[in-house]
Amino acid sequence: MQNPLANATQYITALATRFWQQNGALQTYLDFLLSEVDPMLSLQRYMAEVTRIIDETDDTKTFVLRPSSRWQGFQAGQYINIATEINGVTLRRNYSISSSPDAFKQHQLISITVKKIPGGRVSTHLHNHLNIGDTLAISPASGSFTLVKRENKKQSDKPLFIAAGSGITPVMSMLLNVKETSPAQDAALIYYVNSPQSLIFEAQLKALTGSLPNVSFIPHFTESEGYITSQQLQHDCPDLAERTIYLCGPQPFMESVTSHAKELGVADGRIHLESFGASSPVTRQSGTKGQVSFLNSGKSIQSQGDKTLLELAESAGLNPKYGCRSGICHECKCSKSSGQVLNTLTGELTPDDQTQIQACISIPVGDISIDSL
Amino acid sequence: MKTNILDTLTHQELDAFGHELDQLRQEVINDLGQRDADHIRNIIKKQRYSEVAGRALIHFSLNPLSWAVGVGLLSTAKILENMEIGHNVMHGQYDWMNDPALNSQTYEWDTVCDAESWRKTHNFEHHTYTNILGKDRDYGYAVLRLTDDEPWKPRHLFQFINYGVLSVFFQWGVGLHELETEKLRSGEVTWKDKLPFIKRFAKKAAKQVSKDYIVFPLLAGPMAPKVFLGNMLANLNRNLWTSTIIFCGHFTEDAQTFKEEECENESRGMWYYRQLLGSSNFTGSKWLHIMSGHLSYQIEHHMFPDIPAHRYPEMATKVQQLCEKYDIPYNTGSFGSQFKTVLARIARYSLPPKKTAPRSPAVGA
Ligand code: FES
Repeated sequence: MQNPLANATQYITALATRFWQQNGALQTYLDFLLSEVDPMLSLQRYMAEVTRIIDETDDTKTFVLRPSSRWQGFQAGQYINIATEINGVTLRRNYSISSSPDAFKQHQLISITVKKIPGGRVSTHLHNHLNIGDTLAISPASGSFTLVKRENKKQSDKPLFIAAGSGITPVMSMLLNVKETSPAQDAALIYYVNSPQSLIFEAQLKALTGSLPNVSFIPHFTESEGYITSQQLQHDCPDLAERTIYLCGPQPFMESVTSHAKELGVADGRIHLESFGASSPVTRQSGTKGQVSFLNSGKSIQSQGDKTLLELAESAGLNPKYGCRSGICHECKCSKSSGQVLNTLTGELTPDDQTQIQACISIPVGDISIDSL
Repeated sequence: MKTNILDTLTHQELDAFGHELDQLRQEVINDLGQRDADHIRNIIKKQRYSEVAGRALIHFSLNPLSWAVGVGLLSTAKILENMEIGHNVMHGQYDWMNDPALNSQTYEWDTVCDAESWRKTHNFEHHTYTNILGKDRDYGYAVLRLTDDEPWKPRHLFQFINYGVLSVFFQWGVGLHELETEKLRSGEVTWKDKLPFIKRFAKKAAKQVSKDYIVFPLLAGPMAPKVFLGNMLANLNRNLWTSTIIFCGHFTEDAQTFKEEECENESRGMWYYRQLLGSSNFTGSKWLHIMSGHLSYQIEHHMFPDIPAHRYPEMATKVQQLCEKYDIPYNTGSFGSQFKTVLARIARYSLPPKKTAPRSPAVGA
């Protein structure tokens, strides 16, 4: 027979643990109180404090951040998702970390480098309103655009970094990582920018590549030289086919580099891409056809631009939740990860970055993808 | 007589009326921003501080007075959470903020009513079919007879007692609403059909009961009884308050009911019109409105359930102007006078209908 008191204590401890684990109860309060004292103390979110702001070019700034101590670190090439509030609306964007993993280990600092995009709400807001001492909510680092480790030492795995514009940010982190871990590494960087003025990290890149004997740095200026060609690529990097390519820049740029590289004999598996970046806002007409992808079920259906998302989901064989079918009850709420919809109640296009939409009153305009429905 | 309520305006008039309300809705939507985010965060802050202070006082009070203050603060916190925060967030009023803590589909509130169940019975059933007899199950909560359209039975003589019990245990009544006891009794649905709901309800209720009646009292050790009692009183206060607010919003004397046939193929204008006739407002101070979750503006809430509720006062001025323009009654009065008419209505329908003089609806009055 066990001591009944011990039993009771055990029971109470178990109960208390379960209670603590149930999200929404005590922790929410504790987190609220801690955040009231200092936002950095939050246990439910990772926060980061801005410690320095560096002007890189006319339209690019680097924000040095000190994440809260629970933040786990990152690998060179990874990105974080940052949340910023603009006029009451929380907007999220991914930004590659431009600093080195070592700098984080030593000083607990990371940095993101943000180019101001014309019409870009988040980048403009960060440029105009983010100050030293402010805090931001950040995510853990993620992304698989990282340096591939050599399995077989004999096999050459020379990286070729190809970046355009602000696509340099994850590459910067990787180059710093090369310097810290294997300074003798043979590597090359081809960097496309509009003009010499828009060369991000110019001084840093020159110093870095200058100090690494086996790293070459080839900048290109599209305003004077035009866009990338096969010949140019071949000329910049004659041993292209032996290299592993790390590519980051706007979508059309990456597409053309990929096709040139394949032409020159680079195997598919040797090209690594970072696929986010400046997506230019497109204004589409209502009645536009497109593909609707339901990511959680893997189904998709063609939209003619005349049926609501709820109707489309149903004809794709899904069983979405709904109630009034007229925009009142919000039972049909679903989360959209990309694309635009037309709100039939207001006749307006919802912005790309609005994630919560009512399926019963939303008509897809062009391609969209739905996270969960 | 009642079948004609919706016919007092022509179709053209109803369309124009609906159009003007849509416009008003759009104006406010276009204007949503920092002010609204600040409002809800400010209320949340006040709610959290009053809950923390209330619980601390209940635990550590050295005299009955500080204990009573603690109970008052905890009651306030529970009311704020249920009304201005929970109810409104779950209507989707703050979804545009993209803040996961204020998302209508994931928010869970501090009552035994499971949020999922609430969204179904309240957001869908009640807000879509407002005051349609047989479809809006909020109408009398299957407990009260509030119209002559429901046949009188001798048990209705005692419905004041039922009303009292419903108010005291209001959160349980709301929580069990989806059980549809009236349909179980008539055999329309079976207990087996209701099993998923019962499971969900039991889980939420157990969580709530263990929080207020087991965990917090135990944390106080030998002082457990006073914590138990304090939490019970806070829940009681919240129950009585929310029940009263909700009754004043729909069961005042002049709030109209509708028949299913009247609402077939309803236009948007007619839907607005029905929401308006079925709801009633009451006047009061800013804090009365906040403590009622702005359900003191029940009319505006029913027309614009997903617009942040603190916008209702400014919208109400325009709605009232429109009502004057179209000669539509706008049911409002002081809190006290509206509540009196609720009690009068419960009393009136305790008795069988008077054969001689059927009450005519107050349209245009
Ligand atoms: S089903 Fe009710 S809002 Fe969409």
